[in-house]
Amino acid sequence: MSALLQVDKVSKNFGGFAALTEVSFELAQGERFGIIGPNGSGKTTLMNCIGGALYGDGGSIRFNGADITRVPAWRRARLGIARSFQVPRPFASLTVLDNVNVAIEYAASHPHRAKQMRDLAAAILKRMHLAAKVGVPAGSLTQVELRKLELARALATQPRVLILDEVMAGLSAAEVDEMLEIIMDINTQGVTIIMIEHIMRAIMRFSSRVICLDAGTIVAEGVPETIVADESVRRIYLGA
Amino acid sequence: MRNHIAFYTGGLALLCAAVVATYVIDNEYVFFAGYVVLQFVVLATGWNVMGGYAGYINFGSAAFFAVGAYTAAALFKATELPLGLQILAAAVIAGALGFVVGVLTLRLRGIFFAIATVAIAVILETVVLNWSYVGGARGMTVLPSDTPYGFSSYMRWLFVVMALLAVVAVAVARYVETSWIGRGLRALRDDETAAESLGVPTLRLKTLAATISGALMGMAGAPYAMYLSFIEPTSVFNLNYSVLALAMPVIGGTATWAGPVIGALLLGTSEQILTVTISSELNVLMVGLVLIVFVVAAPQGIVGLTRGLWQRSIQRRRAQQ
Repeated sequence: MSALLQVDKVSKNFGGFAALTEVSFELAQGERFGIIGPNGSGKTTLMNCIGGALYGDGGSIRFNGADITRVPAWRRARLGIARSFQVPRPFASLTVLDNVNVAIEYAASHPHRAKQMRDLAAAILKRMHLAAKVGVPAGSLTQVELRKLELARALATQPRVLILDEVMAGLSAAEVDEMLEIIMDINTQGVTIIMIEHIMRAIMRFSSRVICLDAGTIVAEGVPETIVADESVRRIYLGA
Repeated sequence: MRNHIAFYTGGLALLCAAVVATYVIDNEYVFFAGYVVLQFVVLATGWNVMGGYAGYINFGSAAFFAVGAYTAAALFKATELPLGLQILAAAVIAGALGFVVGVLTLRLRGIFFAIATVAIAVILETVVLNWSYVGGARGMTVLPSDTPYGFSSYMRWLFVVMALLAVVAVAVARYVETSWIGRGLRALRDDETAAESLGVPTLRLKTLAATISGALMGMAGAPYAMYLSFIEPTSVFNLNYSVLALAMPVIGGTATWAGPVIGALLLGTSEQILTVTISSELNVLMVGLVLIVFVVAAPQGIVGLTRGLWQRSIQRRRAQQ
């Protein structure tokens, strides 16, 4: 069985700055993949390359066997790659419900009936505890609600791979637990998850495999236990 | 569904009223002025598809208006094409220009997009100024063909044609607004990157919106040469068309199809009254002042303003109970 997502020697430069240098990894269907690394290590750039917001300068990305290196973001969304943004990017003037509806309507590989769409949107918003906010403009939500909306929208595309870029930043401990539970639940339904997170407790508990990025290269890879024990990871995080 | 029926019955009723008016009203000037007001309904509605729904401000609407007018006039000179086909051809050519403008959005956003549309208007005006077939800077006289059966003057016929175009334009804009296209446009207006990541093909949607917008604005200009029996570049490429096409939706409200209609009816009518009673310069001054007031104090326009007041009064009533 081939991998669901193959990232092969992807590089990305911004002017003279090498944000990513020949990053390679593979993901199997249903994995829970964690990415850690200090600020500026290239985590978000890597996600932008996978999601299609940026094209890499070198290397290739294959999804489900097909080369998607030069496929635009909207098509990748339809193929089943969804992402949340680190800084929430809501459609501020649309209602919470319409934010989700856009995703359902446009990312679906087949057209939805109006009733199906309503049910799906209602189910997702209920799961994200946003049901009470359905008719509210997204611009008036709180930060925590905006993060939930990011996730709700990504889910509404009915993805096969879900990229979560720091969805838990700024959440309380109880909210982190709640969010983790929701994400675990999504994973058990067969969605492969890539999680970028600074909250170590969350990412170590969640991930089945973790990579650590530093200065645009992968410096360590393995199960959470080996990553925590890894010399170079300790050096990066603790300085010593 | 009931909404659709109400909308189309309303549109049909307005058209019938326009036809009846040509029989009962004696004063020819009513149709002469009414034509202009309706023409602005079409122009403002067309502008709003790109400017309101997608959030791309077109500052060169006069170019689309003029392309429509000149396409129709040139075709009429060449082949004596009937008015309906002239309008159709004008919509196609102005729509093609809209398509080009839509492709520009790939690289240009915000103020840069607006500047590019101004540049397009300047370029096209220069082209027409030097196009001798349509008279260049001197312009061209166009003698309308026979008045169709049932109308007592060609002016009355044009009035009814423009009323039909207005209903068609509003119906198209309303369809765009309430369908998946409108939802996608509003999404990309708020955040293009996020929209793209959720499967919205932003460039395609913007190009579609720009094409529809251009075609409608071209339609608004198509009967112009017939209306005045004369066409020349400086009047059809007039900056006033660009300003009014933008001012009317902004003042009426850009979020819904009703906004541009209300704005066009208000500004178009007051223009006719002020131009006749005082002066056309005063009208331009007034439009400018009203536009500033709305941009600063009520960016949602008249529609947003009344909606806000209405909701507040509901809340107050609830609070009292």
